[in-house]
Amino acid sequence: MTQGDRWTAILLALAGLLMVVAIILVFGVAPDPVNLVTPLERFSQRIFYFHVPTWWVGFLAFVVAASAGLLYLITRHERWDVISASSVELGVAFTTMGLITGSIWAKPTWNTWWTWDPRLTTAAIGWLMYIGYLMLRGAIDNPERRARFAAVFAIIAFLSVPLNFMAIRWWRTIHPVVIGSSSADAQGGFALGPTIQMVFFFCVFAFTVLYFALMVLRVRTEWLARRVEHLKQRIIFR
Amino acid sequence: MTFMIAAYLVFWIVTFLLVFSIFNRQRNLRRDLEMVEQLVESQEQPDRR
Repeated sequence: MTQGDRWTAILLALAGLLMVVAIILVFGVAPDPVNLVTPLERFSQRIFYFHVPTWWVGFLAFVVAASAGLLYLITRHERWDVISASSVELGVAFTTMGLITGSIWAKPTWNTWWTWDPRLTTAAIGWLMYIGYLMLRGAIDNPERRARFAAVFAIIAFLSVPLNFMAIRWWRTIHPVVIGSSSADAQGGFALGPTIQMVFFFCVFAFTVLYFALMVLRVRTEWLARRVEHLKQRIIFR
Repeated sequence: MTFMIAAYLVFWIVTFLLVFSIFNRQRNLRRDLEMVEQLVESQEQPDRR
């Protein structure tokens, strides 16, 4: 085991520990919101502690990917392409979880799995754009061209992030606004009590650590893949 | 309660699949790396002679 492997293992163990504490806080400490009466509402409300952080990590991953893409276009250093590609992959995984957990929450709350609400629609469009990013990477063989096209795509796809974030604040929507003010027409907004806030922000912190741990693991794997590819090319074109 | 359990299950299953797939890819790549390194070495040895 190299020193890098050891640090990755420590970071992953720390993220795992924080996630366990988050689960304990969600089910053992967070109180039921006073405005929710039925057990169905109270139980489904607890999905929010993991649903919102999955989207937070998804957005963070796409911010990192777009920034790394921009830095790649400026410097043409492979390192930024590795970071951008790894971050998009994790972002897609987390936003997929966000879409699924949101849909599961919607069923008991809105009595439907999916509705073409502005927030859900912008979320679906953003998710599809990043699926397109992964497909684009898989479709181009030339590494330099792939990195250049992917960097441009990561920057353009990033436009979906602020649009998705602001959708519930700009337009008439049924999706609750957890942080910040909502449109006067928006429904279902709620204020967070101090304990709920503490548990919620701990979950956000635990997810952020999980993202960085997975990023370290994913970036190391990407470098390994590129080293193997480089050696294969050396054998073929010798 | 079923919805809550389903949502948390989805989260943990996808997270474990993600971690497992990255570890699996890394293990395969390490094996490939060892193999190609040997190939490169064996290709370069006649040159040294």
